[in-house]
Amino acid sequence: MYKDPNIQEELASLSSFWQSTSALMPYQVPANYFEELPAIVRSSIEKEAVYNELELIAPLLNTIPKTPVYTKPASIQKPPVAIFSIAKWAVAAAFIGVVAVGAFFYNNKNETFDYAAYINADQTKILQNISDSTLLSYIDAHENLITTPEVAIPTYTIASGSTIIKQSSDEELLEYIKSSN
Amino acid sequence: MALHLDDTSLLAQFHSPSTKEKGYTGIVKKYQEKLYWHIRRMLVDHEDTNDVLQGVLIKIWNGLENFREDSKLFTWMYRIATNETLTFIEKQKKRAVVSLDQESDGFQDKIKAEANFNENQLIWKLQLAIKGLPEKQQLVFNLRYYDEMPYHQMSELLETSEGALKASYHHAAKKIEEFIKNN
Repeated sequence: MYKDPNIQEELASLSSFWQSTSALMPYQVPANYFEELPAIVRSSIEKEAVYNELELIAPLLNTIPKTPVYTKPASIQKPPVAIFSIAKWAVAAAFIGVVAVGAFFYNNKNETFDYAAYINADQTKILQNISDSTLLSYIDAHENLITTPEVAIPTYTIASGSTIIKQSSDEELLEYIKSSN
Repeated sequence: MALHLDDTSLLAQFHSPSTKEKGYTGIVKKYQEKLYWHIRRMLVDHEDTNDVLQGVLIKIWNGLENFREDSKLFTWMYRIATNETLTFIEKQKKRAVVSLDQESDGFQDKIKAEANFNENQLIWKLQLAIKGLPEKQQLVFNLRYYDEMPYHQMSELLETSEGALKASYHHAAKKIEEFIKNN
């Protein structure tokens, strides 16, 4: 805008008092007011355009306030305090972590076989502790193993009854007759 | 200080559909502070000033399509701002009468309520003195003293002869001087 250079001269011609005054305004303006104003005005223009449009179509609607009519039911409780919720999830996460780590180590433990103990074991003692039925079941299950040529069973020739009688003494025969009665 | 396009370029942008908003925003950014202070000197309160200024800027948006470029853009906008401000003051006065408010307009109280107000400082005494003037004299004094507006432009704005404006300004300056010397 054009500025009149004669302003001060004009005032000075009226009174010397005006030489002591300043044309500064002492009022304060909120921070960033002028930076934000153009956007605020654009928003207001849009609102006005919406209002004017409705005024032409259905003016009654412009008289109804746009305040929300729906309300939340009174029974709806506010969610628990945030800090409690966070603590709850933290405990759950720690528990899951402990379980997961435990399961991992349990499933991945290395089973070692003590061969030295196996070799030095008293086989006779072990067999004595095993029942006859268990042994028979084992033999049935591993029949082919027993009949393989590599695991040969020694053959016995059983003498006939007359031969046995001939080879036995009289005392032995008497003993046999006693026991068989 | 921000650089602004001249009024002719801003109006050309506004009249082109693709740059209409850009042209308007350019006009607002260029003149918003001058319009703000023009209104605030009359209303004192920032919130009242903000309300009136927003209304003024919306009126400018609505009226720019039909703006006749035979008058200056700035003068045209000042006229809208002046009329809106005077209308606002009239409404406030009517409200004060309805509420049986005995005070004339309460503007001096508003000045005293401003942040940093100091009744011993000349700069604040000047504001109190200006608000003691009739509205037309306030307008003339503010436009001449603060905006340094030439009389011919003021004449166009206020639709008053230059001679009458000069007389009004001198009269206002004398009254202000007297008020400050006595207070």
